[in-house]
Amino acid sequence: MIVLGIDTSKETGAVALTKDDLLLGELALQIQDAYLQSILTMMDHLFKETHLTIKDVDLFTVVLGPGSWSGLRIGVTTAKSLAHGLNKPIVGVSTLDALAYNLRYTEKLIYPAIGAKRGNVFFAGYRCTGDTPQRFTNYKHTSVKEYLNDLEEPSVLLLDDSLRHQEVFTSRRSDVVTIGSPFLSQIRGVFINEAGLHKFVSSGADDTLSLVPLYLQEAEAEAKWASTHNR
Amino acid sequence: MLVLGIETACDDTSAAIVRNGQDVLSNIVWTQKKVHEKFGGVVPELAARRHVEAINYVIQEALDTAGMSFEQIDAIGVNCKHGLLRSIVVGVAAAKAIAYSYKLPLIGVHHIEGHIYSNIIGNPDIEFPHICLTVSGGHNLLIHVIDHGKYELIGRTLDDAAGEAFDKVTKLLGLGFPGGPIIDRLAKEGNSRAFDFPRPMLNRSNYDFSFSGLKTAVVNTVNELKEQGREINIPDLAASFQQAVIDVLVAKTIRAAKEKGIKTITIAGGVSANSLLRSTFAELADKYGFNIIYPSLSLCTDNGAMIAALAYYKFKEGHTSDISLDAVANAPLGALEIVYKNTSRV
Repeated sequence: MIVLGIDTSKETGAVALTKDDLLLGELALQIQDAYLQSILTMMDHLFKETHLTIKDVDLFTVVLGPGSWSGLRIGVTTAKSLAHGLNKPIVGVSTLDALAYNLRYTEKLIYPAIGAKRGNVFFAGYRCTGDTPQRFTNYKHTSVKEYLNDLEEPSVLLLDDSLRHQEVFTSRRSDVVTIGSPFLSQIRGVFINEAGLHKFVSSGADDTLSLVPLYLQEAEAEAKWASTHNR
Repeated sequence: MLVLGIETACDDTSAAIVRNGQDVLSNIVWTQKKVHEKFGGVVPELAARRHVEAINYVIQEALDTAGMSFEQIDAIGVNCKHGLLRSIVVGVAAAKAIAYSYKLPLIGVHHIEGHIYSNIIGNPDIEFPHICLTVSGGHNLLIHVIDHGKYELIGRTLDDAAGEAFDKVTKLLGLGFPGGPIIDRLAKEGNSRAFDFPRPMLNRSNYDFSFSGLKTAVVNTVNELKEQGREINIPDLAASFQQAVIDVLVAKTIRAAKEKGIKTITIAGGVSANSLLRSTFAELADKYGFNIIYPSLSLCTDNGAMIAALAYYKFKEGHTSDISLDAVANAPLGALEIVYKNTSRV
């Protein structure tokens, strides 16, 4: 089965092409502010070098978020329009799930976290003792304080660039709390495909036409409106 | 040649299939009116989210209505040059993915040029040069259309677009969104001479517009009446305000046409659906011997058909885009720099 994975959730976008257990090609590029311009070009490069075409793809998989709202919309719309146009299945994978694939076969708990607006974080907790990370919390959008309070130990925090250097995190480092390497805290193209394939095998494809990003945060105007009208 | 046109400039998600730039086989518009109504204007982040939800349903509906499949489409046209950036990128991402899947020519076009071409649908032998007045909630332009793709800017708004003024007045009065159709309907029951509102820029020798002062005049009138504890006759207010807007739009357009010795006038954009604008132009056309062309109602507001038609003509002239096509909020129209301003978003 040929799987094409797409990620435009963070500054570095990724595409990966796998055939069963074989990685055919993977490309990651810092394309922040140029997701729309670059994502198809990156994909096209993989196809040219592997002598395949978009029509050879059996399954599309795409990172749903959380992350850059515009980036996610471009990635999700691109992926579902390819799947729609070619009538092939699609599976969406959350950013946090994809990150949890970076660290496995460990007793430590894995907590990927991504900086959100107004000093908040998006995060979830995973047990990663086997092939498939098992999420044991909801996808959360909370304050940094709440994130740190919720941690169970021993654990590894996978923090994005906006969080890694904050004192509140670095001071938490201890014998039982590890802060993972920056490169383990970025999505790897091949793991989008692996995560997508696991999800496809266990629960089937997502509905193509209705697939949308996972924002985990309402638009500012909605939040304001709700706060002034629901009292 | 069958072109699939995709348009997501603002708050309407649209896809259409048009044959040879003329026969509209389908033109699906999914409007987000209900989403933005309570905010009294378009919220860009919400508009962008809704576009992602709707885009592939709308494309599928355009195919189904035309009785077609992707395999039969010959080219894809998409607006990538004007509107809310967060909204446009969704349409462009979809257009690029479908074009890439089927190795179809991709033609990135300009939203406002699409409005100009909404009048070429059904009028393939339209006379050049002509004058086009295109007015919506986001733009307000008077354009000398010299030939296909050749434009001269005659006039534009210096502040609010007329459609934006309609939106602001209905927001002020708590009447809903968008303002154009609401004012149009209320004005039919009112007396357009009840209030004496200014006709901004009417007597200036140039062809620019300004509707911000008129909106302020309406605000002041409403506040005065409230202070005096007097009842506001909404239909009269709507009719008087609408009359002031239409008087200026029509007078400037007719004057430009006379000065340039041009006999054909087209009107386009959301405001071209206004019934008073249409009837006033029709009367003056009879009186002065102008040929007035306006689009069917479904082609006035943002729609994929005008994009598909424009893309067809652009393709015939040899224009195509590659897969690195990007979106911009305000590209030049031909050689024209259009100052884009949309303050009706919140």
